[in-house]
Amino acid sequence: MLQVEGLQAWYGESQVLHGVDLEIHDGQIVTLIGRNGAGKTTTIRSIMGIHRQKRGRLILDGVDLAALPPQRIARLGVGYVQDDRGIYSGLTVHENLVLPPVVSPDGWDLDKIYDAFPPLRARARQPGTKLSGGEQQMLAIARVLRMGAKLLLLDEPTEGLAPILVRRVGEILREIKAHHLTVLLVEQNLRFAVTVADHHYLIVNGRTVESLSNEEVERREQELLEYLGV
Amino acid sequence: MENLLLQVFNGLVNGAFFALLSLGLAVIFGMLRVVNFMHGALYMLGAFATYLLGTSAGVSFWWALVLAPLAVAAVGIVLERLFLRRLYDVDPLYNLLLTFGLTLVLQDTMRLRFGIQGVPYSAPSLLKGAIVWGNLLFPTYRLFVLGFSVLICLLTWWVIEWTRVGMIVRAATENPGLTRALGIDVDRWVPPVFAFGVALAALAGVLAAPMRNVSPLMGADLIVTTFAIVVIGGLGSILGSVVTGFLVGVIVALGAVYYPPVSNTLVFVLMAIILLLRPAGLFGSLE
Repeated sequence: MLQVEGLQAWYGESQVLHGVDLEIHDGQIVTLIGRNGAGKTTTIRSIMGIHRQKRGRLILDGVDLAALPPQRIARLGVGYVQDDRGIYSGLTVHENLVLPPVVSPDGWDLDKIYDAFPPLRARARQPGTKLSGGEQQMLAIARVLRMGAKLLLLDEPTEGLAPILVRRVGEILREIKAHHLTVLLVEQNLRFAVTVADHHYLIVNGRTVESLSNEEVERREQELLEYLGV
Repeated sequence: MENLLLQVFNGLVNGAFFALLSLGLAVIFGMLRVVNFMHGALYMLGAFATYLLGTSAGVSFWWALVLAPLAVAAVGIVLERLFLRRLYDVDPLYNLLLTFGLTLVLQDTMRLRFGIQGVPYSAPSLLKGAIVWGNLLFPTYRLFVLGFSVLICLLTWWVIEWTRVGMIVRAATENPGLTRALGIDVDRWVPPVFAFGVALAALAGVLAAPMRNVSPLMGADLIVTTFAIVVIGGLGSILGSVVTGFLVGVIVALGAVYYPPVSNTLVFVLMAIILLLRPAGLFGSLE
């Protein structure tokens, strides 16, 4: 589904990505793990087309994304959930949901969304940012499901959430997987990552240095935790 | 008491112009992040368009209410496509300088053709005269200006709050980058939104033509106060710009009665106080 080869990225003069390689197959959940500042968010923003100062190959189902603007990439079926959730305070919960265009017939309709995320139905008319952190996270994910995205880019969806809500995000991810959607997940929490993902990439100083299975992550947990600086 | 009522009425009529102008500025600033310094010049063009349509083509005031804003909006789109859009990626200061320069060009072009005194334009016969209420005399044309401007403000509010276009404008105002990443071609909406803001300024110009002298500098007098209103209301806030527009109209009018020397300064005193107490303005929020 998505291949990233030799991705490099810059902020002005300073290079932050020095060579990110990863491959995600249809229906997989793949995580990017690494410490703060390693380049995880820049990788996601480069795939999404938001970060423009970059070089390398970004191929989505045979289409080269490298030169496309974000709105075109979104319309190819890439759903972006940014690390602060990106809920609009000037839009109601309902408007936050229906803002993106529906880009594929597989998009969830509103009934399905509200059945899966009941708190959103109850608060549909309230400003989006009146929701709790966990509810905002649900809204941000629900928004791209309604769009009909086939590849979801989730930037730390569990960050700052209470343990019970982290479990809820895990359930949502398994449900997404049951619908044969594909996910690239930025995650710091290794224990959580192995419960939801199929494969992992470790990113250090702007480079993917290891490609790991769940078993390898579990076996080398201590060593990896040191990499993450936890 | 009656005098006070009349002054509040006159203040609201002046406020109607401020509201239309600052609403246009707010919409443009929200979507483009451009402080449109030529807003006053576009208001002036609206008034001249009304005069020219009348004298050269016999177009009535009523048709001018529609045609003049459309014509000035077309000028606005041309200026946006030719000049403004080249500067979106650099410091907003450059667009401020650009629109300041364009203001001078527009003003002097009209001055070359019409001179500095300007030209007269009379209200349509339907709106001449006044409505008497007790001992008070309300000029019909002023009542019309007030009613029409409130209607346009409500209509704009409805479009922004309740239509899909309005939703996209609100989203793009709040976070243009994310809005693009959610599949919306924000840039496609920039020219029409700019044109809409320009049309509001031109419409205020049409309404001003029968009330004020149509002259090249008529916008220059108004624009500084309008900027103060946008700051007081909260940069980019739709509700804030409208409410503050009417509020400042009334304050200036009352100031002129009770202590004329401060009448024009009052707005800026108010701005300074608001900035101290609420830096984001009455209706704004800090990003």
